[in-house]
Amino acid sequence: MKRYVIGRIFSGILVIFLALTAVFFMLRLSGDPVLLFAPMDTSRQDLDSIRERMGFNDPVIVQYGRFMRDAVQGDFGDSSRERRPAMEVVVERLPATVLLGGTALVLAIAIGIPLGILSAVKHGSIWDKLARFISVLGQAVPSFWLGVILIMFFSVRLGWLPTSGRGGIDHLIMPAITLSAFSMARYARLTRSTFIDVLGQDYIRTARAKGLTQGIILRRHAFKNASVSLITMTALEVGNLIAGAVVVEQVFAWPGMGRVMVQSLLNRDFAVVTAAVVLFAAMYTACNIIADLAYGWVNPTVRLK
Amino acid sequence: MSTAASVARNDLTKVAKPSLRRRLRPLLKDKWATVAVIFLILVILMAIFADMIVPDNINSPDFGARLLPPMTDGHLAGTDQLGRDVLGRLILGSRVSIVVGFGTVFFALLIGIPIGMMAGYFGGWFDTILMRLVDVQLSFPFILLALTINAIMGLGLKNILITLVIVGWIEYARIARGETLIVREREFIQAAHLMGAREWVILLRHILPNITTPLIVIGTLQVARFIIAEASISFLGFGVQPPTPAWGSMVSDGLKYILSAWWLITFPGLMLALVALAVNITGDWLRDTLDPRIRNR
Repeated sequence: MKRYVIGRIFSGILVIFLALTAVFFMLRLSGDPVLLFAPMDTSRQDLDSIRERMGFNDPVIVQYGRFMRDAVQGDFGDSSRERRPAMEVVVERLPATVLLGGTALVLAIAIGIPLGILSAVKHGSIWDKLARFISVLGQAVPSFWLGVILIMFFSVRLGWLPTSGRGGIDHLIMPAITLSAFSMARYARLTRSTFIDVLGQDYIRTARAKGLTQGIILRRHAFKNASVSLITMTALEVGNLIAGAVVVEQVFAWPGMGRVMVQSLLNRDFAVVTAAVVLFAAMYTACNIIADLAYGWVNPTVRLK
Repeated sequence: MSTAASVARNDLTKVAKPSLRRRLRPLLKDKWATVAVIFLILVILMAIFADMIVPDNINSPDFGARLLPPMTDGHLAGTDQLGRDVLGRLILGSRVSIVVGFGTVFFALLIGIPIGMMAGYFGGWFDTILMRLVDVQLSFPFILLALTINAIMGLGLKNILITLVIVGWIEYARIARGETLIVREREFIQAAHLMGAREWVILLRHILPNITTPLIVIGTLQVARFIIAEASISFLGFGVQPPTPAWGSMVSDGLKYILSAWWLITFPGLMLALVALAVNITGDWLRDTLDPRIRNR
C-alpha cells in the first residue's frame, strides 16, 4: 500500500512536470512570446528590452531550462499588469475558490444523494421520474446560463440577492447553487443506479426477510455498500468543481482563481495564466490521486492491486 | 480471408440488417428518445438551411427597432441592442453549435481511433507515450485546457474547433485502446493470425468493427459536452467572435441589458439546454440499445 501511494505521488509529480513542459512549449510555439507577456500597448522599443530582459533571445532549450528551474521554486515571473509575482496573484485568490467549491460540494451531496436514494427506493414512481428529469436537466443546462438566469430572477426581478462580488452568505448562495447543479445531477444519477444495484442483492432480501425496517436496511446495509462508488466519485467531483469555478466565478465576478485566470487570458497576462494553470493542474491531480486511494481504502478487494 | 469466413460474414450481415421500421421500433417505444431525436434532426436541418430561412441582412443593425420585446412587429423573439431579429440570429447561431458539437466528435474520433487502436494492438513505446499523454490531459480540467489553447491559438470558429479536437481526441484514443486490448485476446483474432492475415487487415476488418459501438455511444454523449464547452468559451469572450452569432456569445452580449431585455439572455441559453438535453437523451438511448454494459462509464 505504501509503495503504491509513493508510486502514485511520483507519477503525479511527473504529470505536473509534463504539464509544465506542455504549457511552456504552447506559449513559445504560439509566435512571438513577448507579445504574450507584455501589455498590449507596449512600444516597439520596450518590447525589445523586455525580450532581452526575459531572455527570449536565448535558444529555446536554455529558456526551457530556466523556466523549469524557476517553476520548481514556484516562480513563474511577474504579472505584467500587477507588477508582482504571478504565483502570489493566483494564490491569494485560492481561499475564495475553495470556499465556493466547498459550499457547492456540500450542496451537491446534501441534495443529490437523497434525491438518488428516493429515486431508487421508489423505482418507477412519479418521484423517480421527477428526480431523473432533474438530473438529466442538471447535466444539460450550461452553468453560465443558469447563473445569469438566477441573477435575472433573484437579483434583478426580486432584489433578494446581490448580483456579484464576495461578501456575506448572501453573496455565496447563487454562485454555489450554479456551480453545484451539474455535480448534484451526477450524484443523483450515480446514487440512483448504485442503490438500484445494491437493493437487488441477496443480502438485502435476507435483511428484509429478517423483518428489518426499510430505514435500517437503507442505512446499515445499502448505504454502506453504495458508499464505495460515492466516495470515489466525490474526490473526482472536487476536481470538476474546481474546473467549473472558472466559468461560474466569471458570471458572478467572484474573486477566485478561475476569475483571475480568465481575466489574465483576456489581458494576455500569461505569467499569471501559467501560474494558475499549474496550480489548477496540481489540485486536480491531487484530487485524482485521492480518488484512487479512497477507492482502495473503502473497497478492500482492490487493495492488493 | 477464407471462403468459410466470408460466408459466415455474409450471413451475419444478412441477420444484422432488419428493415427500417424494425430498426426504429425500439426508438418509437421510448417516447422521450423519439422526441429528442426528432428535435435534433430539426435543429440540424435548421443549421443546414439557416441561410435560406434567415434573410441576408440579419446581421445589419436597424436602430429604429432596438430592444423590441418578443411578439412585436413580426419579431417573434424580439430584437437585440442593434435592432437585429433575435429569432433569426438564434437560427443562424445553431450552425456554430452543430458544427462544433458534431465536428469536434467526428475529427476527434478520426484521430483518436487509429492511434488508440495501434497503441492497444502493438503496445510498446507508442503505447507508453499515449498513456503518458492521457495522464497529462487528465491532470488538466477540460475547460481550462480548452480556454488556454484557444486564447493562445486565436479566436474564431475554426480555431475553437481545432482547440476542442486537440483537447478531445485523447479521450477516444484511450477508449479505443482499452477496447482493442480486450478484443485483441479473442479467438477470432488469433484465428485470423493463424490464417496469415496481415496486421492492418486484422486491425481494419476484425478489430475496428468490434470497438466502434462504445465509441459511437460515448461520442454521441460527448457532442453535448463540446457544444456546452464552445458556448462557455464564447460566453467568456473567446471562441466565436461578432458579428457571427453563437448562442454562448449571445448570452454574454445580452448581459448588459439584463435589467430590461430578458429575451436576449433567455432564448439562446434555452436553445443550448434543449439541444444538450436532446443529445444526452439520444446518447442514453443509444447506449441502452446498443451497448448496455457501458451504462456506468
